[in-house]
Amino acid sequence: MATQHKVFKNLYQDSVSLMQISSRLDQMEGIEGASVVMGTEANLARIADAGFGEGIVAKPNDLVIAVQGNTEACEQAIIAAEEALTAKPDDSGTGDSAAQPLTSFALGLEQNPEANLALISVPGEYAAAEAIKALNLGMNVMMFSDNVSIADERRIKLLAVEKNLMVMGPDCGTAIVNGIPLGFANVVRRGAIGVVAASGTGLQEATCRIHQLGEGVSQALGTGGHDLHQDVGGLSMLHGLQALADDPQTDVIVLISKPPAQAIADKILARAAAIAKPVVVNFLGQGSPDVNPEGVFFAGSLAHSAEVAVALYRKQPVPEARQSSESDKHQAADLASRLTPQQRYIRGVFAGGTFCYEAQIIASGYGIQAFSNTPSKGNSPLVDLWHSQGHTIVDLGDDDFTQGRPHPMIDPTLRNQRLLQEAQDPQTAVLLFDLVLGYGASEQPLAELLTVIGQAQQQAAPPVMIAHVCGTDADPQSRQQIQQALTDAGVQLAESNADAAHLAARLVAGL
Amino acid sequence: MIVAHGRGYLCPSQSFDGQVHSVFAKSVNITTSLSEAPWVSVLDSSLPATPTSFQCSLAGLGNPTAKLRVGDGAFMRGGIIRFKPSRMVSVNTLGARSWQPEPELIQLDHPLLHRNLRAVEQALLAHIGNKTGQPISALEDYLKLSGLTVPARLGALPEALFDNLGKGHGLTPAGDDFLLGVLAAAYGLRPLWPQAEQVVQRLAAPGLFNAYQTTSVSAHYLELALAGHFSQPVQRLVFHLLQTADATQVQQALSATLAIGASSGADTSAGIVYAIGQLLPHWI
Repeated sequence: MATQHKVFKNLYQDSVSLMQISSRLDQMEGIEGASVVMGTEANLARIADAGFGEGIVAKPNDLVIAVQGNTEACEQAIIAAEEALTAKPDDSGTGDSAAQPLTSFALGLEQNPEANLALISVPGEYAAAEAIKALNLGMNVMMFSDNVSIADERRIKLLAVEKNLMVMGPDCGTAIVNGIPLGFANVVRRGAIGVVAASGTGLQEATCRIHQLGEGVSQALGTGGHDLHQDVGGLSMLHGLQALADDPQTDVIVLISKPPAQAIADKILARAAAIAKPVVVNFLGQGSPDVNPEGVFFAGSLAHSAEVAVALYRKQPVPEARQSSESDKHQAADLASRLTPQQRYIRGVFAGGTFCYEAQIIASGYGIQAFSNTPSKGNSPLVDLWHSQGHTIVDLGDDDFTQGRPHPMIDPTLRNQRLLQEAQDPQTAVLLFDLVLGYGASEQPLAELLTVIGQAQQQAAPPVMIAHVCGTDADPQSRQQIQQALTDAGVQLAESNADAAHLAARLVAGL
Repeated sequence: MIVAHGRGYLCPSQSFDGQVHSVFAKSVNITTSLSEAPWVSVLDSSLPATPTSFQCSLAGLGNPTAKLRVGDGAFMRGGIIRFKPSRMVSVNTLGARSWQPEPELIQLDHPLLHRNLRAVEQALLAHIGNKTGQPISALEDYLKLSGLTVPARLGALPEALFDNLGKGHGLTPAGDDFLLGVLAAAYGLRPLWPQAEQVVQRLAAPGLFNAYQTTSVSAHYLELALAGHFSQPVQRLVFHLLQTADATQVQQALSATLAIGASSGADTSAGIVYAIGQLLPHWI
C-alpha cells in the first residue's frame, strides 16, 4: 500500500469544507484512508502514527492532505484534493436570483424583502417616476436627484402622505438613518435627539454639534430645500416631525430650514406645539415670534439649535444664543490691528450653502450689506459671479458654480482658487471659509488648501483668515488633525459657523 | 457596501490598519494594528457571533473568497471597514448593535444543574453518535474517538489539557475546542465555585499557552477564552446549563452550539460537560 501527501502552505479552509474533502477522498476507489488536517505538531504525530508516513514537514497554518491506497489512486486523490482546494470560488451570490442584474426597485425588493428605503440618484427628469415606483412598492425614498419640478415634488409627496411614507428630497444630500450616514453626512454617535432639516449643511452642523457636546442623534432626516415652499407645503418636514414624535428613541426634536412661507411656518409650528416632545426650531434668520408656542424653542443659529436640544435633553436651562463677549471684542480688535487701511471687506467663500446663508444673516446683524450669488434678505446679487465687490459672501456649491464640475465639498479646487483670488485682493480684510468633513466630502481636504493658505500668508498685506470645520473626530477625515493643521497655518478657527461669522463681522464692523 | 447589524463587545470603534488574515465563504478575519483589538472578524449572520466579530449578511457580496485575498490591506475609518485593493468591498459598522456577555452566576441550584447536565450530555452523545455513525454511550467513547486525553481529575492537573492543543480535524482542532469548552464552564462556575476559579487561574497562567502549537485562527479563539471571552452560543449554553429551569431553552442553547463549524460545537460542548462533571464531582 502506498502513501502520499501534499502540504498547502498557509491555506485556510473552514472545517465543513475540510470534512467534505476528506469524505470525498475516503470514498475514492483504491483509497484506504485519507486525512485532511491542519499541520499542527499534534496532527502530524497522529497521521504518522496512523501510517500516513513519517517526516511530513508542515506548520500549524498549513493544510496537509495525506492518503493511503494504491499508487495510482493516491496520485488521483491528491490531484482531486488540490482541485477542490484551489477551485475558483463561485461569485454569483447566494443563488440563481442573484445572477439576475438588479435593474429595478421591484427586483431589488424581491431579493431584499426587508429593504424599506430607496435611494434615488438619477437625472432629475427620471427621478420623479422612480420615486413614485418606490413609493408604490411601500418604500421610503431619499432623492439625491435635483432638477425635479415643484409640481412633481408635490405629487410625489402627496402620494407619500397617502401611504404614510417619508420622502427625503428632491435635492436631499444628507441624512442619517438608524445610524447610517447617507450622502454627505458625518459620523456621529447615536442618541436621543432627532433632526429634520431642509438644509444639508444645516443638518450636518446641528448633528456634529450635538456629537461634540457629548450627545447623539436618533435620526437625521433631510427634506430637500424646496419642501417648505408654498406649493409643497412642508409635507416632508411634517411627516418627519411626526415620525420623530412617534419614535421611542427620540426625546428632543430639532427642525432646521431657511425661512419658510409664513403659512407653512405657522402650520409646522402648530404641529410642533401639539406633540409631547420639546421641539427646537431654527428657521434661519427668522427670529422667535412674540409668543412662543408651548414646547417650542427657537434657536438663533444652527449650532445654537443643537445646544438648546442638548440642554433640553439633559433637562438643563436653555442657553441663550451666543452673544459677542468682551474677549471676542479684544480678539477682533487684535486681529484688526494687523490690517492695512485699505483692507476693509469680508470675503466669504463657502462650500456649504446654508453656511453661506447663515454668515450673511449674521453679518447683516452688524450692519454689513454683502453681495452674493445667493443673497439673503437685504443683500444684493453679485454682478459678476467670478469677481467679488465690496463685502462678498459666495456659495460655491450653488448651481452657478457647479455646472459641469463636482461640488466643492467633493473637489475643493475651485474653492481653493477663489480663496487665493480673494487673498490677492488688497481690499480683503477677512477671508471667511468653511471646511465640511464626513462621507462624500473630499478625503484629503487639506491637500491643496494648506498651499493656498501659505500663498495667502505671503501677500504683502495678508487678510485675516477665519474658518470653521464642520465634522467630528469620528469622520473619515479627523477634525482634530485638520483643525490643528489649520491653526498651525495661521487660520483663526471657530467652533461653529455662527461663531466664525460673528468674529469676521465684528472685526470688519470695527474697521 | 454591506451593513453590519451586530457587533461583538470587544470590536473596536476606532480607526485601524490591518490586513486580511483569512477568507472563507462566510467569514473574513482581519489582523489589526490595535494592541487592544488585534483581531476582527466579519461574519455572515449564519455564523455564531463572537466578541470580536461584526455580523452581517455576506450574501450581497457573493463569495468573499473571490473578492478578497489573504494579505490584502484592510482598514477602518469612520466606522467603515474597507479593503485594498478591493475598494468596492466595504462593511459599514455604524449601525451595528452590540451584544453583551451573559450575566455572571449568582446562585447554584444543584438538582437543576444535575438535571440540565444529564440532558445535555445525553443529547450531545446522541449527536456525536449520529454524526460519526459509531456508538457513543459515554464521554469516554467520544474522547477515545477524538484521540483526546484528559486528566482523571481536572482540578489536580488542568495543564494536561494543553497536550491536546492542535490535535484533531478542522481549522480549530478538536483538542482546542475541547479546551475552550472547559474554560467556558470554569469561567461560568468561578463566581461561586473556588475549584473552578483555581482551574481558570492555572489554565490562564502566563507562558502556559503556546499559540504556535495550533492554527492562528484557533489560537485567537483560545486567547479570548483564556481571558474569559466566548462566542455567543457557548456563553448561552453555559448560562442556561447552569441556571435555567426551562429544558427547551437548554436544548436550544445546545443546538446552537452544536451548529458551530463541522465538529467544533460538539467538541466545545464535550469540554463543557466534562468540566462541569469534573468540577462538581460529589453530587454528579
